[in-house]
Amino acid sequence: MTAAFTLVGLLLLLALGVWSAAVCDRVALVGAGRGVIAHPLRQAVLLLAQQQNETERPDWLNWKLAPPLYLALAAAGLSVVPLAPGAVLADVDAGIVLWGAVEALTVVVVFLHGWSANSQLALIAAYRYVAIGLPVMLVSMFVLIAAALPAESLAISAIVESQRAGWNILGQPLGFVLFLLLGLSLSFRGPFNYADSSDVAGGTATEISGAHRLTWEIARLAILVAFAAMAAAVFLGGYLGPLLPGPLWVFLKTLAVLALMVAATHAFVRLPPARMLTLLWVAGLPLAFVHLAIVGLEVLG
Amino acid sequence: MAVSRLASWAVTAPVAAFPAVGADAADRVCDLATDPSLTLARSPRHASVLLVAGQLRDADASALCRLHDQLPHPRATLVWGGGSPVPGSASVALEDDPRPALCDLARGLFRGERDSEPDLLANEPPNPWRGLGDFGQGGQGMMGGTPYGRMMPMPPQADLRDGLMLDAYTATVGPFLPTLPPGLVLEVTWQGDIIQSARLVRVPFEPPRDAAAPFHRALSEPGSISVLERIRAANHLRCLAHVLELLELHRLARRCRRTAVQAITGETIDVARLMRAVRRSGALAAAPPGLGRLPEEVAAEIGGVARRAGGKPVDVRARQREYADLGFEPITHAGGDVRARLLQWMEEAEQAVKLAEHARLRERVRFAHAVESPWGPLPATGHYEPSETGFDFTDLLVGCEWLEAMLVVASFDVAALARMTPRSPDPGLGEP
Amino acid sequence: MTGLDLLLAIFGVAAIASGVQVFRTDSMVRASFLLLLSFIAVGVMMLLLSAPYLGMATIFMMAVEMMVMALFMVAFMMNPAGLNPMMMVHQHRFSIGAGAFAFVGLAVFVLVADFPRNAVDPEQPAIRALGHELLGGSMLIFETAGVTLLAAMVGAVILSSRNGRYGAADEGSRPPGLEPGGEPAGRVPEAGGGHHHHHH
Repeated sequence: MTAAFTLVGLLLLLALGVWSAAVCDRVALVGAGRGVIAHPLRQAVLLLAQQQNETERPDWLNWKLAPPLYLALAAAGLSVVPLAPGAVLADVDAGIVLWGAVEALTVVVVFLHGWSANSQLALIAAYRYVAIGLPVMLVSMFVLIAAALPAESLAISAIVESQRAGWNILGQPLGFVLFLLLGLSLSFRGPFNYADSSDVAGGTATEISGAHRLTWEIARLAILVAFAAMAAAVFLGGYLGPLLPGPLWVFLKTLAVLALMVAATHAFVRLPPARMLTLLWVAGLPLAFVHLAIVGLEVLG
Repeated sequence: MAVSRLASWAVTAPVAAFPAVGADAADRVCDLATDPSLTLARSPRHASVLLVAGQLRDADASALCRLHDQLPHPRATLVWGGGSPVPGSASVALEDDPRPALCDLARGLFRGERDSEPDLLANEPPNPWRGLGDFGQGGQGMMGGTPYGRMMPMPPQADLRDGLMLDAYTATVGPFLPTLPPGLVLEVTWQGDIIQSARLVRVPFEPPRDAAAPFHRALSEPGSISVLERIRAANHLRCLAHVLELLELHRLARRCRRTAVQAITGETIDVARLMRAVRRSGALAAAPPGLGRLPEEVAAEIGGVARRAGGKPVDVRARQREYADLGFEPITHAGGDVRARLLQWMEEAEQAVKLAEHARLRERVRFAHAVESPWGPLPATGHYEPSETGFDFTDLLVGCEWLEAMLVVASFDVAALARMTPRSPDPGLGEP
Repeated sequence: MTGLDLLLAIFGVAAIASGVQVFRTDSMVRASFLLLLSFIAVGVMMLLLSAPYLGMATIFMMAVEMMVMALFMVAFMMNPAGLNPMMMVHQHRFSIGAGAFAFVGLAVFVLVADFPRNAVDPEQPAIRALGHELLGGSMLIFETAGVTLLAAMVGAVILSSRNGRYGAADEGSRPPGLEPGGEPAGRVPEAGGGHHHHHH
């Protein structure tokens, strides 16, 4: 019974999150005009009315399978987020490791999407994305391990419970900032948009149209929502909070993180890949190590 | 019915148009991009309407046909300005607003009132297939190439970055790639994402005539400083907006374009605030120092923004008394690289708006011998000829990664690019 | 045969089938990702056998490794797209023989060996026990060794890349002459860069 409620709740969270992220994107770009709330629906219908195009000799299986796989990864990532004490769809002991697998497979899926189109600009975008996506994943794993240390468990529900004393964002602010980089990279937006970027005429999405493109864009937003729910659970206390019921707190915190992500998308520049790589390896990873060491010392001492 | 309800929803979505920009149309397309009811797509696959703006060259016809066939069904073509080798479903004069026609086309397409345009080219691969098996792997040898000649891809030289030998891939980019100036066609050889060599095939279209006309007129009769400086500011803002689009700062690019439109119409605009926002986003950090550094003698030939960005305070306006009365001082930056040119654009736009505001409409200036247009000194013949030094801007692209190469190309205005072409008589270069 | 046994059999067959496809496909990128598929199937089998940490860690590590392997295969084979169809196998008769021998040997071992049948308490903290078993009291040593290895790998790549820190690496790396001011001693590299094997 709880599982059924949790499933419905998570699906609602996914749908609402994808819709609000699309609306926030539109508002950030052109401002709040008339009909901005229904904009995602209009765009979706437009895309459904278009033909799905083909290229010459692509790898059909990987090309057409990549968007549904991306969506499945988002669903898998969302399934470990608890909506209330004991209401977790997949209560795995190693939720953090599952997230690591989701992040790694996301890189694989985006690469396959760009590679299998048999198009030059899509290929360049896919390779660039891998070069940036892997170091960001490393940074995020250290941050997640640091968040798991006070809870002494890799399960997300245990991490949420451990925040009764205080939310992790207060104790580990650097971790939260580094973790936000992961969100930008998983759905390749803004400063981390190396996969679908404007300088390669749309990147991995340059050759897709119609329902294929709609699925890809929805999957991008879905992984962002899953990330936001994860950030809300691991850093903002998940279902903890006064007055309102647990699931409502999860919704509100997820939406807050989504708004933050959309703001960050439009605020910062996308550096050339070589510069971003230098920044990640020279600044990002050492910061993550230092952060982990500090949190470790705090927990031991 | 459900289908017509869905169709009516599809019709209210912003029209997705892919712009194929020709001569004298770049500014108008840039202004069109500010409208929220219209989306200018980055790839033809994302668009429903092909917007052919301005006059195209004969040599661009085959590229336009291929572009047309890449749009997904249902599709239509709108010819804006009458110079298209492809007959469209509708046409609008260049002076008119194409938006009503675009909306009509889109509505007709999605409601089923208008048929989707058929393919212009036959659906066949361009090269005849010779080989065994689906992919030619049925022949003898590791690459299946014997006896049908499929060779092992042997790279001609080591990767310029780290000695890794990757297969070289050559392709032609342009003339309608949104990241390049309209009309520019390059033949690029990549190894991975590093450009090993680039060859100019066709020069980009020149600056739009109606923007350059007031500067030409200022040579013979007095022109209003306010108007001239506002055109300059608008041009610099549009160039900056293009660079910001490359750097994924779409919101800031939109603001720059809107400000450019407001500059032309004469409203009061706050460029300084916009430039502060650009700096805060870190856009200048995106260009590594020394990227696209122009040699001094070439900058001296080209003049204009590129020369001042190299540290030489050479500006025709400094010699005019009317400008000196307004307190004009040439701005310079050191380095002559992409970052310096971007800063030059930003600060000259701010300066131009300030001059326009101080001058109001009363002050007039007449230039004696030369005019400082937004694209540097105006050419005597009316066309931007290759410079005496014979410098080829494609030399700046060698060894650059794709985004850096696009930044280098975008940091020059089209007049500077036309000047930095080789002098050898290449048929097809710059043909009208 | 319970549902669990059926699932295990399905994923086992999937692992073997995708493993075989690795050698029958004609593209490097497809080969790497078919191998990834095989490893994912093995990871799922571990999940089904109540080893969630091991299963997910396998999937996680193999995803990263196969992604990097695809990159390196394509880079060192000089074909950036990996879509160029080519014959992917060499010495296949020997390899098939060795593989079949290993399979038969392991299958015999699995069928003949006497595995323990003790029931494990589901409440037991499996991850903690695994951690203690693998690393014991040497956790800090392993962590620092891991970071040191990473730094060593990054350093090795930087040192061996052509753009050395003080200029192109292959210009400075010539040994001094036997006489002062004489020709550098040692083998002089060929001018062509050494790619003289022609495959057609």
